[in-house]
Amino acid sequence: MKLFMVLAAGVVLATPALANDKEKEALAKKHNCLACHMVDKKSVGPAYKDIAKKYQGQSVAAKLEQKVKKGGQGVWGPVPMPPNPAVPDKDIHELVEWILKMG
Amino acid sequence: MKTVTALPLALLAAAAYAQPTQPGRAPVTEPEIRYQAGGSPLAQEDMHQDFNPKAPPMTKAEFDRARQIYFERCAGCHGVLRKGATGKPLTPDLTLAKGSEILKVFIKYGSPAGMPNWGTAGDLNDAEVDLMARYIQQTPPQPPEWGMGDMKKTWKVIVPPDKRPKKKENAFNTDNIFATTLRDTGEVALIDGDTKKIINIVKTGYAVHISRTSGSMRYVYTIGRDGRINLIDLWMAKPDNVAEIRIGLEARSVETSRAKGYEDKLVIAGAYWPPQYVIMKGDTLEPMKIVSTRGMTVGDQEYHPEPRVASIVGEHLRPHFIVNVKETGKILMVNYADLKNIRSTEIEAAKYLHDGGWDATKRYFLVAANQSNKIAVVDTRSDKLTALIDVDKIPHPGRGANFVHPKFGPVWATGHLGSEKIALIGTDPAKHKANAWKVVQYLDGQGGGNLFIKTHPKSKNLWVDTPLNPDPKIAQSIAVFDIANLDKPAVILPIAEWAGLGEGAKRVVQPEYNKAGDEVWFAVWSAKNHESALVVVDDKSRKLKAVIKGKEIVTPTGHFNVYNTTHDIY
Repeated sequence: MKLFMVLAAGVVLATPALANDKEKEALAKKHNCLACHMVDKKSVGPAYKDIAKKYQGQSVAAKLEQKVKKGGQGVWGPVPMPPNPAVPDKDIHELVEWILKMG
Repeated sequence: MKTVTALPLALLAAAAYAQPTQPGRAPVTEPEIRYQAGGSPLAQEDMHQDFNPKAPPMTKAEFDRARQIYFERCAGCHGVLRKGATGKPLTPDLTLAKGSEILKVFIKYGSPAGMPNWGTAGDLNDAEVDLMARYIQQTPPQPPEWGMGDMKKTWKVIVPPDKRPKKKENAFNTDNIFATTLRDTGEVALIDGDTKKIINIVKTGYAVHISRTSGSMRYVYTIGRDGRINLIDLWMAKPDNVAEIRIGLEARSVETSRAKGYEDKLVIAGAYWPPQYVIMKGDTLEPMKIVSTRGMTVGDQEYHPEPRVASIVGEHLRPHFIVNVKETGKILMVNYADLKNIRSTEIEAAKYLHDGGWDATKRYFLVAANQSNKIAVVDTRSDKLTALIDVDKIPHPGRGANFVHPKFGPVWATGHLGSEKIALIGTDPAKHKANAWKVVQYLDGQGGGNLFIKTHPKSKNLWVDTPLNPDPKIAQSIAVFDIANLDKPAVILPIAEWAGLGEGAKRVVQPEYNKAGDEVWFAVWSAKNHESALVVVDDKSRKLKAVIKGKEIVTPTGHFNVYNTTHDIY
């Protein structure tokens, strides 16, 4: 099983951007982001691509990192984003960067 | 009571959601939620609990309140032990990883995959949402088992066989009696099909799921959601209960031995909890044999602790019961000739088995696997799976309907909870081999939320109900197709309007023929505080023939004609 995954990762590494996506998606999954968010479809929360589109050309990374950490509500409708105090700052930073690049 | 009235609100709110799916999981349609939700009798049972030290703390009182809410609203989809079925699994390994805040969002606002928005719909307040979020991080409490000792304690023979009539002591044409479920009062109305008059209102279990009749057509067996079985003797001057028993804490199915020489001899019932079936004596309900259905699932072959027993049918040709097990996706062909050395063939089908019926020859049994969107076909001559047929979303055949298609030969039809389609499946491998075990045609019904479909060998009509459709206009009417001309669209009949009732949900449910096959009966089902009715339609003219109503007809959800039930005519 492990060998298989290493092999699969090797194939993916052929295109660096894809490898990065897989890595970030795994990080998002680890921190439960994907319970409510999907990359290109609205679910309980907004699609990552829609977030990137909304903030295209704006420097909002710091603001969004705070939102992930402390939670928020109102921008995308009534369903709130719960606070995520347990997620390390470094991971939040990486994830927000990844999301904003999707636009 | 609160549950009953609050539920439709939540369901309507759930409909507001759009359709996007989450990866790897089909969305749950609104009719499906309507179908699976609803109170489980397990809400009332005492259960042992060990508190999970990793989960957010709860007091005993909080835990008990949350447990009650869970069994009233959540268990239907997520399972008693939270292993998941229509809803996702909610075991602590998964819920602890999500944490209270995320869980609260789902409980309050719902999800596009089909979770109802209990908070914003007004069914649960913020304190209750918080309570439920903590509760589902605790280890699921296990309801008690229900073995022979418990069954014997609830077993009552009201009139022993030797004190019962030796011959029929009434003037009713008992073959044409209808047993009508009065859901919320825990009763069955016995109605004379000839005069349309109520013969008796018999006390039964809560929300009788099905009534079956014995081979001699003398006895009627009813099973409530609460696992209570009643045995009614139609030979008495005034037909009434002669025995009862509780075979589990929650149940759905009962059936009798139909093979030649075994008429009236045995009765079998299947439980949701505990996951088991039990075989009893046909004339007294004395429990003889209990068999657990716990075991491995089909396909992935993982252990499942609560494989619920769905439909059971008795074979007419061999001494066999066909037991359909939901979560494991297995069909058990149980030979009841020797209960001490019971033989059972286990057929791999698909998840999650639900209801089904015979083809016209009664050699093949067709059963819905509703989360796989398939119909499984079993050949009772070889005890083997004949086919797994892809159909549309969430098939719900009831018993299905058999007729001869002008172009494709003999077919069996099923409707769907999840779509407006009616699938016609060829059932004659001998003379119409090319069409056998394929969907030969889809008909367009009114919409999703179909429960029952019906015709009769003497009829040219195919009747299709849609009681769980969110649009009241569709839920309150019936679609009828002309079998001789199936390319013609269905005619829509406003059955609920014909009943001449006041306000209410007035869902039209379960077409059922009389013995002669020239009348079709429908239940017009409103909540307990509103007037309901039964509507009888002349099959040939499709015109109103009679309306049966009155203060006794409370929440009728369907009916079973003695003759057609005994002979599995559909």
